[in-house]
Amino acid sequence: MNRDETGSAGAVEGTGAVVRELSGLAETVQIGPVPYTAVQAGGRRRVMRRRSLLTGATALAVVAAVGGVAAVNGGPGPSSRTGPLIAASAPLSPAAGPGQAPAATPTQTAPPAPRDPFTPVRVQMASGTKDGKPWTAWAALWPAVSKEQALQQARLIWEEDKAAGSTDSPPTQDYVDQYRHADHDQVVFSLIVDGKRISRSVASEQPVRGAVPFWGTPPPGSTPPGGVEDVTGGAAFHAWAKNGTDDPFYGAPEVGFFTVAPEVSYAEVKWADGTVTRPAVVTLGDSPVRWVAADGTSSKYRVSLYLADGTLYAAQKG
Amino acid sequence: MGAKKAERDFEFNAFMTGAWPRLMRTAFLLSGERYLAEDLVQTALERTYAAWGKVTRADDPYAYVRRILINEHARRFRRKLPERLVTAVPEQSGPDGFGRVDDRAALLEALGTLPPGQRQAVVLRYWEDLSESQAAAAMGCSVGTVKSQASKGIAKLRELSSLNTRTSIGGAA
Repeated sequence: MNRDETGSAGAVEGTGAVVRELSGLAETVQIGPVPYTAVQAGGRRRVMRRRSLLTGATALAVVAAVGGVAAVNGGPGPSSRTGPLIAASAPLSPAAGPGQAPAATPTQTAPPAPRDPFTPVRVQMASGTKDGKPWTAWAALWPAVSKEQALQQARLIWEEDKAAGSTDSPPTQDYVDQYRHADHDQVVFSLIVDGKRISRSVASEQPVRGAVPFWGTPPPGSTPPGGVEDVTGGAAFHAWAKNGTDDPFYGAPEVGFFTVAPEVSYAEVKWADGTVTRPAVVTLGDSPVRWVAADGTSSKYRVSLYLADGTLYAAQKG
Repeated sequence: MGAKKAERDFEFNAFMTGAWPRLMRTAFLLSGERYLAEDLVQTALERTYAAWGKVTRADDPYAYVRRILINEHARRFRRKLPERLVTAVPEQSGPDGFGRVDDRAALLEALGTLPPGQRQAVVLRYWEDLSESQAAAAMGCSVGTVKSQASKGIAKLRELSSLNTRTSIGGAA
């Protein structure tokens, strides 16, 4: 027993009996096996969700490169899903010079959809081929919901992962209360490789139009804090487990998604081999946050966002 | 990168193996129910895993996790009063060995009636055996608050006649 400060247990007469009974009571609980897998899976999910939230934090701009994909309604998307499907992305400018604005800004806009919180707007963000297998990356905009509807929506999102083979536990009310924020849409990125949807998705929470971002970033139009470097936010498909046994993204293309500020006109990705590409700037439904995607041909690249006059607005290494 | 992560997971698993029984017992005293306790501990460990780098830099990793556990318990309690089903109303029992099980059921019942702050203070002071300052750090409150909460909690628990009887026979520890 501690005897410091106030004499501890002896401070209250008869405390000894309570102490003994507490010890006895604590010993009666049956200690089951340690749920290593469940704890680690839950911990990784928290890490990924936190990364998504944090990287979405600055809500500024950025870039990436994407294979050319024509805008097609009802294109090759996840067949078991509901909601409008829109292909995004535009032909790339393989070697545009810095500061040289493209003749036509590669921007695709999905038509504003009714804000049904249980029917997402889906947009194809990127596509390509890796190891001979075709892949497509999709974004689904799940509109902001009321506190009462948040768990239902979270379960729908989880069910899509589950249908793809995820063994993650379903979201709980506690989880939703802790990680979901009012006036924020859920942007969920998913990956289809060789016709099969990867069992894990990556989410990013973004403010609805007119909402104040919970991370306290400056309003659109203001100068990026701390200069133009490393100021973009977003999400990415990335395998954290390198052994490939428990990470669905192991071996999959590493696609990066970056938020784009309203004043940005176009984006460029400069790859390690000197190639410069221009990914499409994509609008999801009526979300004020636009996106670009960088495909996973290499993890070494630098994305730059430019104003219409060619002024560099923001940049970040991939 | 892969080796580093594997090392981190190995380290975390080793910590979890050692901490799990003690955390379970503390959570059981806080929640009053085994499955609630498992859920509480699992949630606390998930949060620990997510912040493992910070936890390992702490002087006492277990204290860090315990703080998470206490916060999680307080957070859940704030949102919803706990419901706990009991199979039978505990009967008053004498100080003999046969009555011990009933004593514990009564104590568990009494713990469940304490406000969360008092319950946490009692469990941390008299089960986790923390000093007042350590308990204050775990609860995120002042030493004075711990003193008063623990004192009130113990006083209420002592209203259990079985504990009073036991005290009168065995004397104070």
